[in-house]
Amino acid sequence: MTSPLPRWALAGICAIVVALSPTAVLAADVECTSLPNPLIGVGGSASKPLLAKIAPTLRTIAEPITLIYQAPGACFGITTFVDGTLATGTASYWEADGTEATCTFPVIGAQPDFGMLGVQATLCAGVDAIPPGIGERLGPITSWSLIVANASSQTSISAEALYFIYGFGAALGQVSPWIVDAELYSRNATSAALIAIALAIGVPPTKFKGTDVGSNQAMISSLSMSVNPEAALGFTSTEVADLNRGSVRTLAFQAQDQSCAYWPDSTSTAFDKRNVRDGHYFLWSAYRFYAPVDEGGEFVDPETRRFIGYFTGDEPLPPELPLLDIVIDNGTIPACAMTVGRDEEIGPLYSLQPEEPCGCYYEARAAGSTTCQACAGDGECPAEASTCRLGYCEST
Amino acid sequence: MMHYTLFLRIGRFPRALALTAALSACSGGQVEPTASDTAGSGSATTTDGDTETTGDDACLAPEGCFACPPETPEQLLNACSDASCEPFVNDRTRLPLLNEDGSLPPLP
Repeated sequence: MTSPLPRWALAGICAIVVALSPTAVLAADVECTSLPNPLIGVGGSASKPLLAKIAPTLRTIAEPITLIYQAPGACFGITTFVDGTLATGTASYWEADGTEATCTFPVIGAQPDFGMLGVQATLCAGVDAIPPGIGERLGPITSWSLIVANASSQTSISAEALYFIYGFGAALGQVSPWIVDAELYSRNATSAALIAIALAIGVPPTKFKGTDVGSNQAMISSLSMSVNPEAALGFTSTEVADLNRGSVRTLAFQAQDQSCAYWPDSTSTAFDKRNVRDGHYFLWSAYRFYAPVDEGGEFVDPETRRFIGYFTGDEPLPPELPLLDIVIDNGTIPACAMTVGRDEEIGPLYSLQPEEPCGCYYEARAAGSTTCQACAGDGECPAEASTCRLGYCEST
Repeated sequence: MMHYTLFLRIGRFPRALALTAALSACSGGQVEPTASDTAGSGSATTTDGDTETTGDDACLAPEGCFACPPETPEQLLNACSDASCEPFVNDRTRLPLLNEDGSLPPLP
């Protein structure tokens, strides 16, 4: 078929369309370190959707920051500070309008300013301890999802089933319908998702079976394009799974010593993360930031200190950056919305009362409604929930 | 590695199995709309226990959930809730490689 337009005209139109598209990933020959006030992060792909929501605003604040992020795998977020590996190749950054673009690191490489992991760095191979001079800060909570394609009929899975599937391999494990090796999707041992799930099911990360697809986003593609969706199984961060509910579903997960399998949310279709927050959904971790610190334990680089400080509350938030809302809207959970905690990765849970709870606001924002009483001040709150926080009566 | 060792504490496994069986028999609660269940894992339910009890064993609600204020990790995982859940039955029908006593064999 002959096009009514000459090829050069079509190419020009396509270039304009791509340039105007706010969601397009622009491939530009831009050197990362030449961007204004660059802040280079490296780590897992699970956190990339969250960073993508924050980065555009960082370009517009009083002292702008260009957030640059490379996601080769969570453990690279600490190994760069262990063995001095520099960032090379390309990375993502975001324009103020939300456009994701690509920049290139210098040929000799660039030292990342911070690492961002979904698990404790010491769970990464070769990292026995956090190196001297590197500080750690906790970020918001992410949960991990076992996922199937929407065409699958499966709705739940257990730690014991996963032990056989990922520990023996799909065919050898004999857990129907997940018995096809070619449909078992996995990651490598640098993945936070793999490490977290490995801890929960008792399979050493290096013994995980399945095809390494390389990233959270690639996991979605692999599942959604499966030729045998009933047999296909994979895992990713719940944020990424939630962003792709049109093609994949999170399975309810039943931990060891648990008598029923729960979704991260109160139902399979909700967005309230209630089961993560109250301890019914076992697969969750806090994001962790790593960066060089001075003798006083403060981050050395001022932009790193500012950026991570926004998450920890150590730095005042710019008025343009509604970080709590961004975190909630991303499907990530602020620590103030949790009522359980744990001292070790995927370790035992205990009840937790945050100093300044925000569970009511979280529910209202994430789920669109809450049973908590709305308020404008403490005086409007009942005795059992006497403090008005973010417009709702909380218990403290 | 510590977690791997913990996971093989198989003494608790029959108890979890019993709880799962109890939940499988549960007929009450909200039914979560799900895809057709070809694997026989049962439809979603809730564990919104209404048992008022004081002793540890007496805290087991008819649905199989823990109906008292949860204190231990296991109680938190199994606390009664009006959230939907779906028991995954860890038996040899579903997991053929389980040992006869319900414990897990070592990895190959």
